Amino acid sequence: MKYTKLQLDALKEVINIGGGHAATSISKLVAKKINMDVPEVRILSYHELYTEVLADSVEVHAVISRIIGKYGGEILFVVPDGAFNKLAELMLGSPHNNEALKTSAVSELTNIISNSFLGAIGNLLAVQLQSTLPVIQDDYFGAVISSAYMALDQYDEQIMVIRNEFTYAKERLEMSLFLIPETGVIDGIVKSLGI
Amino acid sequence: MDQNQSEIKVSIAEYKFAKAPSRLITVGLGSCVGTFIYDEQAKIGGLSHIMLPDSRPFVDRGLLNTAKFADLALPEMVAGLRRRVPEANLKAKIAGGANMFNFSTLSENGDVGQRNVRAVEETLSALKIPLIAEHVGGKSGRTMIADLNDFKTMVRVVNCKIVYI
Repeated sequence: MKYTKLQLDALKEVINIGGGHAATSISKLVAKKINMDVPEVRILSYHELYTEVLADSVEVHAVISRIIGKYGGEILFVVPDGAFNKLAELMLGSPHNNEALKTSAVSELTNIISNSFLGAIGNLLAVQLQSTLPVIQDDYFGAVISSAYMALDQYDEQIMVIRNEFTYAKERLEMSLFLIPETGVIDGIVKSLGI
Repeated sequence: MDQNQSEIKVSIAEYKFAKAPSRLITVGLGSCVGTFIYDEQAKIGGLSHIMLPDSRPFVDRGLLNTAKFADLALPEMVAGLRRRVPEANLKAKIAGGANMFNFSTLSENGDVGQRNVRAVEETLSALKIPLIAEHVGGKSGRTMIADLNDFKTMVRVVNCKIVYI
């Protein structure tokens, strides 16, 4: 995996636009201002990912869906416990104890984010991109992320980490969105941007 | 288990050796497989965390990390144990190999977890190491903690009871 700084910057800009749209659509939905941090586009080893981003032993709510269209891949949301309750509250308007209701609210939220994220990227690249219905699983971050990459036949110990983080009222929502492209997709995107 | 035991962490695509009274731990086994190989006399063992079944499709990709592949990691780890204890009577326990998210249809190569388990079982059998217990498959990730005092192996699954194998 070798990309120039210019190519990585361009990719970051694409993700930035996608994430920006996603943040706007959640803001509209919950009628509160949700922001997105500058996205991270880095090539990391699993070891670096676990030390710099999130430890492999952390238990997370993972929401994963496939991307279908010209560019295939997966879109993965990783939400730690505390953030899960906060997000559910944001969606439902008040705190709830009903786990099924919270799960469904967060799943709907991630569905909206995925599709507005992919829609914006698709527009920019002039392709149709959509996500399938998400699968939700509570599991160890290490198991989730390594299996998500390997399910796409990406077996390197170095992985391209494309990640967005969202914030609300200066409070980090600690929800990360990982975009996991199929092999060759990044090359395709870089090429279609003409760089 | 004794809380004062030292815990040695084995990362993804790695294997490590230890002896009593330590514990070897590997976390976040999804489709990966953890293999604990142990000699009860010397109370010495190794824990490996492999990612893939077979190194052969990757041989022309430059320097390989042998610890990543079932077919290379296990013979190497066993050789390492036999160097330390030549007359070792080795036995194995394995955990992992889940099909996370039921994503089998995603990869053209089928379910990596299942292929990993099969490759580990075949490699152990070729090495003539009996497989005493396993906790494999399903769709959940696992954490595996191997006790070098007595071969006891704890398997933890999120939101589930702890299992000893």
